Amino acid sequence: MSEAVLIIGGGPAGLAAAASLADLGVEAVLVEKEPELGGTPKKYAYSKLVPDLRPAQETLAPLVQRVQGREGLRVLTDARPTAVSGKAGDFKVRLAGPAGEEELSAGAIIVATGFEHFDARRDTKYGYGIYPDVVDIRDMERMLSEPQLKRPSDGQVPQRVGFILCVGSRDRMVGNTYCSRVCCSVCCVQAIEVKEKNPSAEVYIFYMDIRTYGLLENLYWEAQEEHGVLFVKGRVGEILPRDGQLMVKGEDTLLRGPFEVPFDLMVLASGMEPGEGTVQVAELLNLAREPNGFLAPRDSHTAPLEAAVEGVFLAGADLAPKFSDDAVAEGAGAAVRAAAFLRSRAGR
Amino acid sequence: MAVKGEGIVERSLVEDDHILEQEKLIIEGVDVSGRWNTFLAPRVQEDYTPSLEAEVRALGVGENIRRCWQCGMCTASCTANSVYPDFNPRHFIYLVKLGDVQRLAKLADVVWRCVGCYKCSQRCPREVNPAEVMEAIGVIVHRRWGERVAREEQVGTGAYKKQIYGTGRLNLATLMAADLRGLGRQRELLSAEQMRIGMKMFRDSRLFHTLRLGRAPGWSRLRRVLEEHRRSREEVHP
Repeated sequence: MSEAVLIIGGGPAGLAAAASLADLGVEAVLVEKEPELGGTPKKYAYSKLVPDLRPAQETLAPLVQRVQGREGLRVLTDARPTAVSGKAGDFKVRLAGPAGEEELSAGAIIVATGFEHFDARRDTKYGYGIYPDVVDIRDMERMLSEPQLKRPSDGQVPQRVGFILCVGSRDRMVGNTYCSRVCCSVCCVQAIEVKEKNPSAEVYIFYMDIRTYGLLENLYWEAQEEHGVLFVKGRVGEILPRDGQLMVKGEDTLLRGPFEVPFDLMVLASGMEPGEGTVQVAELLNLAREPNGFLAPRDSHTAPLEAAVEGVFLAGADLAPKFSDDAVAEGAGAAVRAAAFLRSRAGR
Repeated sequence: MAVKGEGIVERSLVEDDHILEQEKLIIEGVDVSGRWNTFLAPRVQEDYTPSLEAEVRALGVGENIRRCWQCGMCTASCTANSVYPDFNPRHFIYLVKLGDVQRLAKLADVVWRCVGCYKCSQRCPREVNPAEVMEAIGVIVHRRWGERVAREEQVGTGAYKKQIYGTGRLNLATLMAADLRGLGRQRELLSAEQMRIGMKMFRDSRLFHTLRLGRAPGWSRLRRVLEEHRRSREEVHP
């Protein structure tokens, strides 16, 4: 019988879970496979976050700070679980880390293994990985973190920037039929950032539907009304290089006709997929996955943060595409569910 | 008489058959001949045929039309669209789903101009298979408004049927010759270009094989299948 909670994943959800357990006085171990805490937003140097355009590093820092030097909380980076045995209340977990292998006991496990960006090379019509000025939103976050936005091919400031929504999402041809939920809002923010850095840039967003759901609708309005970002309803069929620019072919469905226009930089809104870590941990713990590969909760209405495997709790983008603020809320929620679970067993 | 609707400022936005104009018109003793009596018929759509989508789906190759969400990937990828701007697969699918027979009838001679490159079907995010859906829409259009389809398109079907039902296969050389004869362009068969190709095919013996193509293998069995098919078609489209 162990009183400790193992948290797998040191992104926004895992950090929030670890800090919440420390606040509750529950012993915990946080394991992160990368050398640094902060998850995907840290790894890819995200620029500004939805919904309030705050710099990602500014919001990550307090999350990381809250897990450092806490009593009863161990933080291991560069480490990952390699084997799990036992059951709820007494899991035996083998960890591989920089100091070699170790085994520890945990009463409960919180899985917060996050997501990976869709690899846009799989959607060959856009030439990602072939034409340097075709980038995805992950590359764009890093590029926007720099003081000036420069296009990769020649370091020039791009004057005409286009975004293509739903790349790797809502597309049977690439195998992902779900909506990645964040990309519409993220592209609105990135378009605003492009205009902030270079007000003379022309920015277009090619869309099928705009899903800036709920309060995020503000971003859609702001991009149009305050920054003059143009929205074109239609899909882009292909991108080809021509005279140092990118020739973008598509249909403007509202005008009912094809267009062929040059751009300096094209950004593909590559969606979210279950990360490699999510797949591995699902196998280790024998967790159920829904048809798209994300982790499936035991009951999405009454137990949205619990796995069907007793003693295993879930939080963050390993459950479904979501923003980091939602992941933080789920991390705290999973921590409470895990603490309550351990307490109920101790009282038995 | 002057050019129809020439007094209309944004003439390109108004379709011909919506312009009501008479050369001589006197209303209550006032002569309103010429452009004074230009009227526009209302554009409000009132007549829809919702069963049109079911007709397309019943053709098998059109069965995925329901999946379409009008993103425009097909038209964005279309080869024929740059030659025929009215050939817009997305728009045709929309017209069929709405059952807008009036607009579809006007485009009857454009529907069949797909070149079969299949780029749309390769890229369609919902696997509608627009290339084959367009084929199904073409069949529906031929059934309803065959007379509106250009003569070039109508010409080939006789020779095509004759070859399929008569030999079980297509001989492209004789098919082309039949087409050109049907169009009154048989002289082109003797053009310098044709002669050059003919000589080349004669030398490498393809000409001989092509002209003696004959019946398809297993003809006795194949003929029964084709006859059955012809009978079933005649039951559907007498």
